[in-house]
Amino acid sequence: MTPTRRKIHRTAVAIGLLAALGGCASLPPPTSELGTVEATISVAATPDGQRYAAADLEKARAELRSAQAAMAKQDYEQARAWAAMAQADADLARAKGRASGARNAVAVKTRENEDLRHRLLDQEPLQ
Amino acid sequence: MNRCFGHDAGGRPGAPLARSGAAAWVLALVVAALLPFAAALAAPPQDPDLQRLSTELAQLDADPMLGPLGAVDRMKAHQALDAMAQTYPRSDDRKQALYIAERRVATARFAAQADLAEHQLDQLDRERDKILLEASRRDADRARQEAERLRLQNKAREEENQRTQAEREAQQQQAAGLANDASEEARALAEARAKAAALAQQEAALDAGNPAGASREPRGASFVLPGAAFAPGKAILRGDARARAQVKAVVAFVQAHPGVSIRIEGHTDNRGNAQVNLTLSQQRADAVKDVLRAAGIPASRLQAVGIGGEQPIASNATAPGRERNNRVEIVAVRR
Repeated sequence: MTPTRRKIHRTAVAIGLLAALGGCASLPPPTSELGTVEATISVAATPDGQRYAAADLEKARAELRSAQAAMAKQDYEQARAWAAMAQADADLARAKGRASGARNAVAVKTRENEDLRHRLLDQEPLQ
Repeated sequence: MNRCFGHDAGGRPGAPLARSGAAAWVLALVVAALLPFAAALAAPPQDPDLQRLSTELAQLDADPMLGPLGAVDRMKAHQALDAMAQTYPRSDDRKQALYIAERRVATARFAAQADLAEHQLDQLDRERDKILLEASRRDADRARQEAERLRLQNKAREEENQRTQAEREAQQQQAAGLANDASEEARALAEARAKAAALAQQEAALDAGNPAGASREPRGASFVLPGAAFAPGKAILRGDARARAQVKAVVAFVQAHPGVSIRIEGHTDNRGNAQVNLTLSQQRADAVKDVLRAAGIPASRLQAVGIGGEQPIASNATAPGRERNNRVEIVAVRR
């Protein structure tokens, strides 16, 4: 191996390192992530969501606030981390609200159908 | 997840491929030495949280009801577990990865439950539609049955009405000779009555020594009740068998002419006071009218007139002639 080749190798490694650092530094602020979190929270904040996933919603909101604070300090890495957690809590709140609401509706409709069947079909059997 | 580890573990033992004997032996030894290391790499990760969450997610995947549901959130949960596995054993961002993975796995379960419940809601809606459809079908059936029942009831009532009507008509005919032109039976009945009347008339005529009896004149069929049926000089019908047969013949004659007006003419011979004769003839006609009314012929069809001795049908010079002139004629007035 000639000294020239070793020099070239070193330069390449340095360039690669710089490029990697540059890449890290040039990570964009998680603006769209925060927007998605906000949208998910507003979708999850249905009456069912408020009722069955109030704690998760509150966590998501608090994490969103932390993310926004990190954004203001231009700490995008922190902001991204808070946003990911907020998104997880918002998604959980939304799924909980959906599941509870749908389960309640199933119970109500099952009763309604039984009542309807009883009133319309069972009482006066057709000869 | 050990998916990423499995890859690495599979790659290592496949590497040694040598031809020469000595080199092969050396390589075999190396592989033997490496194997436990590979096994260690392939073994499940030692992160208890990851194991717990992986088991939870695997149970959800295996659930016969929830397994195929909530696919998007399930995928996100798997990704979160993969990301968490990448952080092990580093602890700097493991806490955050665990926090997210916990929530993603829970979200996957709730999402699957929500999908299941929403699917059940769809089924319940369909069931409700079916119930309503069946109810309306039964309503329609009931309405049809009710309509059919009413139709049959109406029909029965109509038939009953017709029967009652027919019976009433038959009774009227029996009593008054009213024939229902529309009714075949009534016509047959009337014909039978006419025949009976004709026979009775002939019988009466023979009895009365009056072969003329009923005759067909231009003014209409007529029947002659001989004056001998009355007490002499009076308007009272005799009670003897002969007179009764003659009266019966009169009734039969009238019954044989249903629905037509009946003109009852009283006649006398020309002896005695004309005014007295006129009065007597009227009274005799009235007496016959009473008999016919008693037999059920409506009075509206009956007209009784006294004519006196004005219209003799035989000579008043002889006793038999005078006896023939003394009569009550019952005329079925042609319409």
